[in-house]
Amino acid sequence: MKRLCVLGGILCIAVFGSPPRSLAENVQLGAAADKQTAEVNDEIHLNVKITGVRGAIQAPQLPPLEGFEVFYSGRSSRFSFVNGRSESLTEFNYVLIPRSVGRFILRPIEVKVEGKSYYTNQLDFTIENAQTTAATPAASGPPAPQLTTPSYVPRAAPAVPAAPFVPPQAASSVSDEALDQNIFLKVSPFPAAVYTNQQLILTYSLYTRYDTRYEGFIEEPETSGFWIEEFPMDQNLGRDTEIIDGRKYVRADVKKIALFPTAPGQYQIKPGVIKASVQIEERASSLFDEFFNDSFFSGAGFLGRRVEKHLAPPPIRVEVRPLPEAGKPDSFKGAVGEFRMATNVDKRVVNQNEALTFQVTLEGQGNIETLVAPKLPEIPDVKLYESDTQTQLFRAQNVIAGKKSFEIVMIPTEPGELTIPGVEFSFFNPRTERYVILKSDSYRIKVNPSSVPAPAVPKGILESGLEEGKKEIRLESEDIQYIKEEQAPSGQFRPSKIVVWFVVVNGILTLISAGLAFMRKRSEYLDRNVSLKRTLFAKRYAVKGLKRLDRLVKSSMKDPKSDEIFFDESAKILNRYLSDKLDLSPHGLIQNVVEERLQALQAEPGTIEKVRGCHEICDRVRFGKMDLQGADRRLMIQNIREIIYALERK
Amino acid sequence: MKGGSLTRGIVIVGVCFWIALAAWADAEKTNPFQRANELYRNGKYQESARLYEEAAQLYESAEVYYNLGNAYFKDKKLGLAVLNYERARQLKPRDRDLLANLAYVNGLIEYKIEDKRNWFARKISQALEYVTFGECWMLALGAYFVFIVGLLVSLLGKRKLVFGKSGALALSFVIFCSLPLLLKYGEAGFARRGIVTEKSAEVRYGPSSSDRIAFRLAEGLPVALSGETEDWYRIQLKDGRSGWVPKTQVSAI
Repeated sequence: MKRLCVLGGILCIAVFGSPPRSLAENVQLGAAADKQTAEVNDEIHLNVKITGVRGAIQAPQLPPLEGFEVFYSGRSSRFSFVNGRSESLTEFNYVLIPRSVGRFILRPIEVKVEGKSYYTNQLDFTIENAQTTAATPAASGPPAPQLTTPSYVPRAAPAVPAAPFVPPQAASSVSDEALDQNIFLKVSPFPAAVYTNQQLILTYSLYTRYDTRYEGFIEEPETSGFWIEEFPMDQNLGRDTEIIDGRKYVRADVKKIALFPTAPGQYQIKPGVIKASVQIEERASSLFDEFFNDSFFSGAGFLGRRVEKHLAPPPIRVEVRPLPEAGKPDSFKGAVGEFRMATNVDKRVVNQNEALTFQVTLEGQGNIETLVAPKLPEIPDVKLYESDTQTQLFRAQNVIAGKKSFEIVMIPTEPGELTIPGVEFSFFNPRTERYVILKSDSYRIKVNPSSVPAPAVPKGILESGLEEGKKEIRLESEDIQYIKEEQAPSGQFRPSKIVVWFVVVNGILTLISAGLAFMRKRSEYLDRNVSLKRTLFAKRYAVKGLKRLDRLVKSSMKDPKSDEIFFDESAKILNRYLSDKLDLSPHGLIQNVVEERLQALQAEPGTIEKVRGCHEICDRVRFGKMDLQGADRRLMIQNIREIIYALERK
Repeated sequence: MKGGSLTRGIVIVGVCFWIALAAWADAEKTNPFQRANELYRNGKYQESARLYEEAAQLYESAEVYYNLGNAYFKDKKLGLAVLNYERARQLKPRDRDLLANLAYVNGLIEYKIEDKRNWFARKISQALEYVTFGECWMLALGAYFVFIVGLLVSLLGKRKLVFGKSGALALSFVIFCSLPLLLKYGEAGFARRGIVTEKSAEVRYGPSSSDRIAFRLAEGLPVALSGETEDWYRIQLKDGRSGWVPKTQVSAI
């Protein structure tokens, strides 16, 4: 906004404040270098001075210069009225870094003013090998101060093979940052050696001689073993100029962190990698460029081409000393820094079973987050509950400070006078290298008797001890368990006894199932083979029939019609058997057919004769009404039985 | 007259009851288990161990073996204590006191044998330690009972005799329930388990004292008995090493 106002003011002056005349008034150009003989990787500062031109002017474009890297490092303008005369001066600055040995000529630089070209003078450069000049140190001037230059910036860069200058592409990465002494990152630990849990500040400072834009961290620092608190940085980075090794740098602190080591030892911190881009050459010039391109660490140079630089400082070694054992108080719990303690009680008079709050506040410089509440001594007839902890941090300059307050809820269970004893807090002061013990005052609280029961404990509040909550039951010793006084009763369920019965039952069930399955299968088979079934069952039916005949013989000897009934039944039984056995139809059974089938079955002639005889007797009795007395009936049964047995043997 | 016979009957029954009670009380006193417990309480561990051994011959129970293990432990015979705890575990594998004592006693053994079997075999072995043979049998027979009853119902229901999907499912169920039994027999069948009962057992390359000593085992360490001769056991450790050890130095569980 400020820039726009300035821009507007200049535009007003340019349009209304001056007469309409040419911007060019006796234009004069000059190009000068701070040295014309240099070493490889050295830097040559080129200054192009233009006088007699008011207002905007296009930045000159350097002619191709092989064997050099060219970086644009800013412009400056001056306009003055002296005794009614106006004078204007515009300067463009470049850094030339020779990459090869030889003699080089920078041809006249063209500057266009109102469409007219003006040219500077020609410049000659002689570039020598670095080793050549190293042999003649007297020629290189006074030695550079050793302490102010970071160790990783090379003092005499090794010879790099000469290569033709190629204008770098926008946002291309450069891998040889280590060779470039014009931009580097310095990480400073302060102090270099600390005690455990003492604050250590790590400051990241970017030193540059280019038009540079800081673009953040691409690799965060590795700080294992440290508790970290980061300082907030301003949106616009503060900058300062600093002379290092006789060179003027612009310095900006880009990051600052506070580290608190958690244990003693030797630590190595990897500072990470930052990204910055530098403008190497300006192509166009405009009124906007006049104001933006020269600014540092801003949005400068958005019209120019930029080269990306990755800056990675080497690891930092930090020594963390253990806290001294001598004089360490019992109440010490690791706090290091400078602290104050304050205590407060919200009530001086309470009723029995009514809560009051005891507050302990620790305030000072150091690692506030890791502060632990001072231990409160045992107070009889009081229930203690840890209630709340609040932390406030202040990050100012180079100090992490703040305060942490602990609230303890107390409920007196008995009336009378309650004394809250003073609490003790101790810390180690690294400045004086001594332990400091702080003690608070004790409080006397009047507890009035009350019949109100004790309040329910709020959720989230742990019963005392304050730090641990409920205690665990600890095993004090180990031994085997005692002997068994009683044996299990003998009638008790024992799988081994049941198993035997289970096996027997399962065996029986298996046999039954197998039998049933066999019967089922046999039945299914016989249903499919009717003739076989008749043959197999012929004897069974015949035997049943013979039993019926026996009953008929016993029951109806004196009945005159009994002969007819008996022989009728006999004929039926015999015919049924023969038809089943010989697989013939039981209806219309003919004697000849029966005899043929019996002969085919190779039945004995006697058997065939018996069959014939039985049929004849039956027919005579049934149809001829003969009385054959009881003896013949038994003979009939005997004959039929013999026929059955004879045929069954076949 | 009737009243007299009733009184006589009551007296006879009372006398019989008293005699039975006295006999039971006497049996309790003479029971070696109870006598051994009494000796244990009085700190006479060696004598109590002898009586527990006697009780174990009469009636095998987890309680007897457990108490025997305790008596041997108190008598500073670590190997015999582990042996009897393991015997008790075969009968009552989930008894808390027993498992606690076994873990405690095993923790006192100076050496350990790394189990180099694969994780599956280790897990199966650990799981099988929590069940007895009887329980495995019960599970398998119970599953078979369900299967066979189902088959009977199917046959009596005059359904067509087809071994379909339900039959396959039922048979799979039986096989699945029989797996613990098969695995238990598999583990016990391949090698019986034993415990080193001497302070130091010399394991040799062969079943003879003239064979070279391969390594030594400490009292209480478990071994698998993979073979035997008249006087020697061939043992195998869980880490794969094997050798021969005299039967006097190792006892089968």
